[in-house]
Amino acid sequence: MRRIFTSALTALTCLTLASCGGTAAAPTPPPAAATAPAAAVTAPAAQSALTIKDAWVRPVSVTEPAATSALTTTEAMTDTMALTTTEAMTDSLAMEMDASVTTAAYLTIVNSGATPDNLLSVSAAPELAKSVELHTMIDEGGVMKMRPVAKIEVPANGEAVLKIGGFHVMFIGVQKDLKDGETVKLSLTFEQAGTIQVDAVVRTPPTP
Amino acid sequence: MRRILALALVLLALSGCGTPLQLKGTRIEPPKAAPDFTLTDEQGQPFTLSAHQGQVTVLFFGFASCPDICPTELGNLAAALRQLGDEAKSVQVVFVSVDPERDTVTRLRQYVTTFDPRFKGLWGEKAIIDPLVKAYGASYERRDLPGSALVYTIDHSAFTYVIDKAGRWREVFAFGTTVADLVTDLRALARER
Repeated sequence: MRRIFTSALTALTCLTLASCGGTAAAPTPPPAAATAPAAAVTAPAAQSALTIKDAWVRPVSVTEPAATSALTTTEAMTDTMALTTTEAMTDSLAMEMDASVTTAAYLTIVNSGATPDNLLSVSAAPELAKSVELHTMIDEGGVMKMRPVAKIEVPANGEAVLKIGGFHVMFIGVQKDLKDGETVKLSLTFEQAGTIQVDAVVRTPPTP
Repeated sequence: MRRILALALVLLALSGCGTPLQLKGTRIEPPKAAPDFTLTDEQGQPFTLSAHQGQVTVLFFGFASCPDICPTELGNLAAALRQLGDEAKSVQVVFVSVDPERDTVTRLRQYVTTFDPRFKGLWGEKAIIDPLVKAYGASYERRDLPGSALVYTIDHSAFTYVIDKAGRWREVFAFGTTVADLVTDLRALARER
């Protein structure tokens, strides 16, 4: 048993070392990966010291719920203010309108390695959203300020937590409904570890 | 010493009887008339706060492109309504857009009903929204986000304002108040005559 453990440890060490020299953009799996034991820390990226935990996405609707969609457009436009709004939706604003539906993904990145890493970007299927960005939330005396960030640091032997009111993966211009129980495939690109795939489950967050 | 402490506790417990409603949120003391407003609701109809006396109104200022803070609070309020059961009939949750430029009646309908079909989503011109936000001590500011597909965001305060059946502004909930606390207060206010 101990021998297996030792060899697994050796393999992991080799893998960790191998990953250090790799380029972030196109990580080519080192030859060792082919013979690596299944005991790898993360299933999708055997050479990584990073593990992705608890990935989830907030449900979002780009269509109207059945209960209210019965309302006809003319009914909605009886009020003058509503008319003004509708008139404002001209072509010039169409692009901005398209970007208006958003949602967010949250997850925890655990780094079991001795070197820090940075999450640089996240991507999802292009039919899902126009853009996927990394954002953070700053609470300044009760005023919530959302700002894009270039990267999210994952400390050595530590973790980065993307959670409500903090770092999040922001989907801008969501194109389709995301319903509870569905799965969204995310590609996380790290400075050191390269790209890691993760399945994020669509769910309504538990309430405090 | 222990006896004195016990006596003090009993006195404290007794003094609680007959005092005004204990609320979990930050009380507005004395309660004052809630600043009134008329905006367009998610069905395109006018919504006037003072016309809704007899109901507890729960007010939140946000924007429909908000992916993190607003959905969290609206989700908590939706959970509170579910827990209130039948008593939720006396409670109206109202989401007021502080992004009149990007939000529309249609977009607000789609957004708020995702959380609960009973929610109202209100839209108004900036000229109406600005003094209203100020009157409740809330704040918002449009902020350009260069390089972001979102183009701009809205920095905004994230408090929830509670108006009783008599149209009096009674309390403010901080962001992230537990659903249990929301339910306790909303139930107490819903039971007032």
